Parts: sequence; C-alpha cells; structure tokens
Amino acid sequence: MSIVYNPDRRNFLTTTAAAGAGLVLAFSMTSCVRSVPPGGRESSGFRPSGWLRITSDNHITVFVAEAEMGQGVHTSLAMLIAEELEVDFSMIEVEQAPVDNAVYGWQYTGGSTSVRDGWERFRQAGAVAREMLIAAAARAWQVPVAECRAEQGGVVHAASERRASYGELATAAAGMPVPQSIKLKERGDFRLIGKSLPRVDAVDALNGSIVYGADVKLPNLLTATIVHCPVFGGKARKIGSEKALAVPGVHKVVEIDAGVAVVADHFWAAKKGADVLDIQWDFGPHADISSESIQQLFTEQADGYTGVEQEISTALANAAQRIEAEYHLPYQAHATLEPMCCTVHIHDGVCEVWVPSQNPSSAQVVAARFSMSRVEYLAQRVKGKLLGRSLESVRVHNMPLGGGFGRRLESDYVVEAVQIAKAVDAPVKLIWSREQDIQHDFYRPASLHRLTAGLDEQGMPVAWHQLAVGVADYGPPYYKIPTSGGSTIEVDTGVPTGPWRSVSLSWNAFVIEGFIDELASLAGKDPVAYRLDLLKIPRLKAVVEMAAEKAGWGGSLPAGHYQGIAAQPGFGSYVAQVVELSVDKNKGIRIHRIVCVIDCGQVVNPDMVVSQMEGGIIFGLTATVTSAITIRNGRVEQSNFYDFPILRMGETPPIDVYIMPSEEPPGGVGEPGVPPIAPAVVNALYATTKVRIRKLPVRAEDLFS
Amino acid sequence: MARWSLTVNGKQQEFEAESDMPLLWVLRDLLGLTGTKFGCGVGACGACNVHLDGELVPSCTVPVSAVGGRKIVTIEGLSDKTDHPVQKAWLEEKVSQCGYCQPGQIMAAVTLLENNPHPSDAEIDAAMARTLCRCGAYPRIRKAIHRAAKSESL
Repeated sequence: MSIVYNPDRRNFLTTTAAAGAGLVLAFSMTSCVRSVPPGGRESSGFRPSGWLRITSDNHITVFVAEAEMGQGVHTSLAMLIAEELEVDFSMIEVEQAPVDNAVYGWQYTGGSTSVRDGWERFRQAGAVAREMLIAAAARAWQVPVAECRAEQGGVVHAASERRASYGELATAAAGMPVPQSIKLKERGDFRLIGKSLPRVDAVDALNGSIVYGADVKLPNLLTATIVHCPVFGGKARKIGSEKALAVPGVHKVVEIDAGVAVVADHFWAAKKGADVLDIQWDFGPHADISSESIQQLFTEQADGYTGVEQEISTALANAAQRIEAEYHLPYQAHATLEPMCCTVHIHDGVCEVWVPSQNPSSAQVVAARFSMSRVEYLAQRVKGKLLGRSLESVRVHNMPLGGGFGRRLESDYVVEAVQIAKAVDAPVKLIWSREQDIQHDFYRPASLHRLTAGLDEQGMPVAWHQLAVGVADYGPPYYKIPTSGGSTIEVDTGVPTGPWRSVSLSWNAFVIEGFIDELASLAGKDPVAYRLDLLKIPRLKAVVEMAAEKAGWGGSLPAGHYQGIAAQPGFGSYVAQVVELSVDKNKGIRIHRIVCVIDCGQVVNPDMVVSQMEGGIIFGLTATVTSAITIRNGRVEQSNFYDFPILRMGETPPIDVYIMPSEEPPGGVGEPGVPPIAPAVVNALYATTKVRIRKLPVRAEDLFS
Repeated sequence: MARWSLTVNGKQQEFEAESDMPLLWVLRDLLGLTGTKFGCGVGACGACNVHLDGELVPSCTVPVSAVGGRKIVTIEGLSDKTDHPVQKAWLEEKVSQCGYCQPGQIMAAVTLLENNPHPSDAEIDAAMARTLCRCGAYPRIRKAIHRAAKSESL
C-alpha cells in the first residue's frame, strides 16, 4: 500500500487493491504495519501501525497524517479504525501524526483523496489490531481464538464469561504475530460507518481552544510579518529601515528572497514597522501586465491556434450546424480566514517548524533546504554536495488549518519563516497581513475557452472541441459525442497560480455545462432531458434525475422564478445541482433555493458530506456572483475583504443536499460541491433573462445590457 | 509605552503597551488569549469579535486606549464548560468546519440574542453580516441561532 507522490500532478497514486465483494483481503503486512514512528517504541502498550496506539492504561489513539482543514478528516478516518477495532467512538483520541515519510509516505492533503485513500488502510489498521488483541486474549485464557470476539473496547470469551479491556491486552498483543489475512466487516455490520457522528474537535471549536498555526506559543517567541514586492516577480533594490526600527518593539528588518520582513515582540509592532518600511523596488519584467493585457494575450494565442486534431476539425466541418462560444474566468484568491503563517525555531541542530499545511512533507523538504547555516552550507559546498539539512533534523508539527482550499499546498511561507528564523536567535512566528495574503496568493488561473460544437439535424452534438487557454486542462468527456476532444495552451502570464478548491473542474464545469446548456436551448430541448440523452455515466445520470426530481424541475414555480441545472463528475463522485432564482433589474439576482445531489459512493459520515456540499456551494457562489482577482500594473487590485468580498450569511440561499445511496467505494467530497454551482447559476440566468453569461463573475452590466 | 489595567473575562490584567495597540493583539500576543482570531485587521471579517460591556466589537479596530473601564469578554470567558446556550446550539447543529471564524461567530450570535431573543432570518442576516466564514457554515449558523433562541436557558 505504498503511496507514490508524483510532484508533477496533484494526485496521489495509490497501489491499494480495490475492495473485493467478499471482503477477505490478503495484503502485504509490511505495507500496512509500517515502521513505528519515533517515540512509539518507548511508550508501553501496543503500536501495531503508525496509525494506532493502545496503551496499557487503555488510551486508544488514532494518528491521522492528513491535515484537518474543516473537512472533518480527523473524524472520518478515525471512524474507520474504530469500526473495525470494535470500540465506542468516544473512546478514541485523535492526534495529528508527526511528519515522517518513512511511516506515512508523502503527507499531502488535497484532491479530495483522504477518505478514498484511507477507506481500506484505516479499516485494515483497525482490523489487524483487533485480531492481534483477540489472539492475545485467547492465549492468556488458553481458549481457541474462534471462541473470542472483540466488543466495545475489549475481548470477551462468552463461555467462561471473561472480558479483558484492550488496555489490559495491549502489551501481550504487541507480541502476537501479525495476521496474514484479515476479514473486514460486511456493510450490514457497520456500527459507525454511515452515522453522522459529531466531529472530534466539535467542542474545542466553540471555546477558542484549538491551537491553529497562528496561535502557536513558545518561550521567547518573536513575531514577524512580511512585505512582498507589490509587482509579481519584483525584488527590493534599496531598503530604508530606520523608521521601522524606531517602532517600539521592533527588533530587526530582514531581507529575504521573497521580500522584506520585520521581526518584533508581537504582531502589532511588526505590522507597524512593515507599514513604515521605505523600500525601493525593482519591479522586474511584469510591471505592465494587467487583466486586460493577459486577456489580449489569451485571445492572440487562441486566434493563432491551428492544432485541432484532423478528425475533430473534419467532423466539425461536416456537421449540419456549427456553434462557437467563448468563455472567460478570472483569477481567484483562496482567502483562507487564517492568513498564511509559520513558526520556526532553529536550535540544537534541529529545525523545528509549526505550520498549518496541506503539504507538510513539502514543508519539511523546503525547511531542510533553506535552514542550513552558512557554516553548514560551506561545509557541504566543499564536499561538492549541497544536500541541505537532513530530513530527520527537521521536525514539522502540522497544526490545524484555518482554511486550506489548496492555498496551503504551497510552502512559500515556510521558506520565508525559515529564512527569517536564520537571521534571529529565537523562535519566530511569521504571520502575513490580510493584504499580503490577498495580493500574494497562488491564484486559480484566469482562462479563456473557445468551444466549438457540430450539431446534426436534430440539434444533437456530433463533434465537440474545447480550446483552453491559460490553463493545463480541458474538460473531461462525459457526454456521448462521437468526435470530441480539446487542446490547451499554457501561457506564462507572470501571475503565480495554483490549485484552488476543485482545481481544473472550477473552470471546466463552467465551460462544459454552460455550453451544453447552449446546445440544449438551440435544439429547443429541455436542459435536463438533453443532458440525460447525452450523459455517458449512469451514476451521473442518476444524480441529474434525482436533482431534477427534488427541485421540482418542470413543475410550477412562483412567478418570475426560473431554474438552471449543471452536473459534474470528479474526485470519484458525481454531483448535480439545480438553482432556482429570480432577477429584478433594481434588486439584482436572488437565488431562492439550491438543490444538490451527490453520489459519493459509500458514505462514512453523512452530515460531514452535507456540510462539505453546503460549504463547496457557498465557496463556488462567491466566485460566481461576488468576487474576482484583477491585475493592474503588475499587481493585484484587491487587498482585503472589502474589495475581495466573500459571501455573507444574508447572501447565502437555502441549500438542500441529498445523498444518493450507494455501495460503491467512497468518492471525494471536499471539492465536488464547487464545480456545478457557477454553471447552474448562469444556466438559470439564461432561463430567466435569455442572456447567456459566459464570463465570471456575473456582473449586472452583462445581464442587463 | 503606557501601563494598562483591563478587566478580561472577569480578571484584572495589567500590562504595558503602546496606546494604539489594538485590543486584538493585546489579547493574543500580550495576554495569551488566542481564541480571538486575526482575519483582516480592518474590522471587515469579525474573526476578532469580542464583547465590551456586552457590545459586539471587532477587537482589531479598538486601540487599547479606547477600552477604558469597559469589561472585556472573549470566547474563552463566555462559559466555563462550553455550555453557553449558543455554544450548545452550535454543537447540536454541527456548525463548525475549519472552526477559525467560530469564536467570532459565536460572540456575534450571543450579542444578537441578548438584544433580540427571537430574531427573524432577516434580523440574523443583518446582525451576522460582518462576520465572515470562508468554509460556508452559514446555513448551520442560522439554524443554531434559531435553536439557541428556542432554548429556555438563554
């Protein structure tokens, strides 16, 4: 069950065997029972794998390597172990696993993969432990293993009415041979999987006791904040730091690769110091770029493109009718409510890092590379091998994340904190201002898409092509179109880009589901019926049907209300959403109801699925109707929540989420709620106004022009 | 640098700070009360909401010199056992996702319900408009406020 991280893509590749129907799994024990993490051997008790520890005083701890960023992964993965281990969930304590690639593989939380990857691994980890505990009890009682069973945190032998807690058995269990095959529970026997158990951090979230990355406290801790060149790719040429150093509480001004940091007793002094830095910037090569110039670049690239495959261009040319449309999406910021932050202490030959990260293994690697002292650097340079610090001497504590959404897959702020820490003789906590956070993100890329369809006499598509400019992916082909495909033109605009909740589907769903809606209306067909005729994937068809039914599609609606639909497969799940809205020239767009249906296979915790759908829809709505990142003079025009507004409570429509019952293996849920909402909204706007919106976010002038 | 004495969660706290230091950073960096969060620094997100004599304020916009004798309550001081009716309602409705904004949301909801024990949806929207949640927990926050309004112990 080794996990191979391919840094060129954001997916884990797992070699886990798929669950068989019989549920008797033979698997390599060397992969399930990985080496025990540091510290594990010293503590008494039973540590059958990196994911589980049972101490003799009956503390049962599940170690989750995935990052908790609101998706509930500390709860859902622990539920999987508890299910097979046969313990009450209230007995389980969950800890963030240490960053240790040897035990956990490359630690990375993204792509809605946690439950998909953990579905077998965590149940197996629980089952292996259970069998070893049972074996320990059978040996102690001198009874056949088959007469013993695990129940509520202990092993019982019914005939002799004996019971021992897991704690009592822990030490003996550690000496039992690891079983060579394990029978996982049948679905009908699940006690926990499928139940909406409360999250393990539910109470701590209500009283301020969760220690997020920004909340780290250490003796003699200093706080730093950073100013980056406002223009992407620029550098400080001359730094006037006198005024900053005169601010009471400011210790030092530090120039690092990414910008200029002010180190102080606390954040307020650091921020005041940063505000009075007098920096002359070398703006570099991107000082003139703007959203308009990027748009023009995209248009030129699209105009000059001649690479459509011969088969597709022939099919388009031979079609009875040819339709073209151009779609546009802007840059988007992640705007996690907790700004970027990282604490570093270099001491006693160790670089210690406290960081809320979706990619703590990357944090470890960059800390190893950038935390070397000059002496260490020179020593390695003499030897001819610049290896950086050893990974073992970099201790990364992954802290709870105040939001991730893809932003915290990057480790730029880790490099910065390490470089600042090298310049001071104390632990340093770097916290970005909100302005820096909005203006120095890795943005969801802006893109332009040219869609071309060839239709037959009945208006059904026979050929389809998507030219995607500015991004690396065009849409997946989930409609039955005889000849279809796409091309991409990646463009280096100078604006840093990165994964943003739902990644390529955040643009491709908008483009495909918008354009297919255009084809439906051209054919004079109902958008749901048209999709059902063309959809290839039965599970996607089923969610479309269910969403239409739950939303009362085609039924009578209040006067002025109209509906739009969109669907999208992705991350192992299938989602359809129906938006019901009305438009008033003076009051704007009012969304009355959103119906969302997800088929995410076997559900571990239904309420958490619902909450991820609600959250994904609201995240997607912000990008649909309220916000965008725009560029002028090489810099981001927005800087805080007053000009990059995120959806507020009063702007949030009622959302009804339905989960399709399924026994398929689990699909992802963190991201699939996002993609359909933008196209469902613009499709509903078309139904209402007959104006086709092909550019996000939706602006009144586009609707009422 | 001046010396200040403030009442925080019923306790007298003495410390030195520049007079323009926002209450948020006094709480977090001088008094170690990190339950109050930093989100924007300009009073636009509500992550730093606290109560000053029962009034809801974003503490990032209140300089320490402006607090005066007003009593400060932060999320840590709302209840001893996380059993304020609003906290209990939050737990029942499974509101929290990443949780970072929740201290600010809860402080805002408490003030709302103290001023208006049975708010309508529109009144909830108005009262909560300046407290942002990027995870999108809003539908549950609204439900939790209605639930807390119905609880007898409020």
